[in-house]
Formats: sequence, structure tokens, C-alpha cells
Amino acid sequence: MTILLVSATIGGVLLGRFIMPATVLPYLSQYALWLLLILLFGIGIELGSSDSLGQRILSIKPRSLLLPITSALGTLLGAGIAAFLLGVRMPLGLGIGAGFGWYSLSSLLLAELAGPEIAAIAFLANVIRELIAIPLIPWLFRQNFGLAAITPGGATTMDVTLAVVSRVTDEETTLIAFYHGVVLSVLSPFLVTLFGGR
Amino acid sequence: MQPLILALLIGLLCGRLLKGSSLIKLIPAVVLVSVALLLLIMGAKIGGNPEVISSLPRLGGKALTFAILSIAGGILLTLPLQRRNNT
Repeated sequence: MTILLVSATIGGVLLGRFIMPATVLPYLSQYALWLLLILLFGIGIELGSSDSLGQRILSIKPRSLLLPITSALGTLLGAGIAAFLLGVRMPLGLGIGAGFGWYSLSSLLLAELAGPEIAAIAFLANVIRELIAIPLIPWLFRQNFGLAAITPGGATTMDVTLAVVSRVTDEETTLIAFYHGVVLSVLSPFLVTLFGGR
Repeated sequence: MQPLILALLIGLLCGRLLKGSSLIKLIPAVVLVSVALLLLIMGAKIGGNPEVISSLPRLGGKALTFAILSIAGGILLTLPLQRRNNT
């Protein structure tokens, strides 16, 4: 699976760079939304058709609901350290981290708030985050990292990396991953605006 | 974001109804293909954007540092949650 997804990404880059006419690009976002809907519909069917989903939901430990908090704080801590090491102004560094892998939104907001250079770093950092997450999540699950294995996906664990999570783990963990992605997706624009505007 | 949550909920409902049907067997392939296409599109957007490509040599290292440390921080702070969860 990982190999297919990584080659799809690389194939896309080559396609966009060398083959595809630039006029097609604006249409791509529209296709992407439909694909996201199909993706979530499909994962919904998988979860809905599994046995005893209700019981599985009830078996989720309340502590698991803290996952988005530890994930967000850890991301900001890591981004803060990166900002310190690279000499990027701290609030802007935290703004880059608060993209939580949602590269399109974080770079758009930061382009307005902090200028093109920070926006470009945010775009690349959050794309790279998603690309690292795709092979890393299955590996972390195999190494028994449990819920921590969800966190690399950030906000994308409610869409693209949710598919990765659902392939390598059970239904309740998939639901926790979706919840993790939703909470981070809600937090992301707030935090990016909060930090990026300073 | 709401359309995505709605799509998942409708899927859950359909999954309930289709339980045991042979259609279900097709779903994992549909999911995988849609993710692959999404990544293909993401790649094409990056590859088709000359500004992104030209900023890579200058900003790629910084971006990679942010990505790796962000991921590491998230894992690190979540590990205690996980350990207590197991006991």
C-alpha cells in the first residue's frame, strides 16, 4: 500500500511538472473534493458493516479522547524547537506547525499574515509531514506505538491518512483517528491565525 | 469539513444496510484508489507549480526540519497517554 501511495505522489509530481498543461490545474481541487467524499463514504461503509461497532465505540477509553490535545501540543513543541534551531521567529514557527499537515489552508493563511517565505515553508513542511506520515503510520502501529501512531497524520487523519490508519488497525482506532483529524482540522485555522498574526 | 463528516455518516449507515453483501468486498479497493488519486492530484499541483519547485532547494531543508520535529513532538507527548491506557 505504502509503495502504491508514494509512487502515486511521485507520479503526480512528474505529471504536473512535465506532462499536464497548466490550464488543468484549477480543476484538480474540484476532483479532489469528490475523491475525499468517496473516500470517507467508503471508510464509513467499512466501519458500518463491521461487527459490533456500537460495542467497540463504547469500549473506547475516555482517555483516548485526549489524543488531539497531546498531538497538538507535541506538534507545537516540535515546531517551536525547529523555529529555535532555524532562527525562524517563534510565533511564525508555531504557525507553521499548527498547519498539522493541512498544507493548503495553513499556507494560504500564512501568505496573508506572514508573507510568502513563511507560507512557502508552511506549504512544504505540511506536505512533507503528510508524505512522511503515510509510511510512518503503518510502521509505528507494527512497533506497538498504539494511539501515538495516529499523530503523524495530524489533521489529515480525517481524510487521506485515515485510509492508511484503517488499513493497518482496528475499527475503534480508526474512529479515534477520525476524531483526532476532525479536532485538529478545527483547531488548525484558529491556531495558524493566532500565531501567524504576531 | 461538514460534507466529509456527512459522507462518513452516510457511509456508516449504508454499511449497516449492506452488511453481508458482496458489494462490501469492493470497498477497500475503492478507498485505496481514491487515496492514490488524491495523492496523484496533490503531486500534480506541486509539480505544476513552478514557484514551489524553485523554492525547494532554498526552503526544503527548513520545511523538512519542521515536519520531522512536529511529528516527533506529537508522538512523544502522546506516548504517556498510551502507556497509561494499557494498564
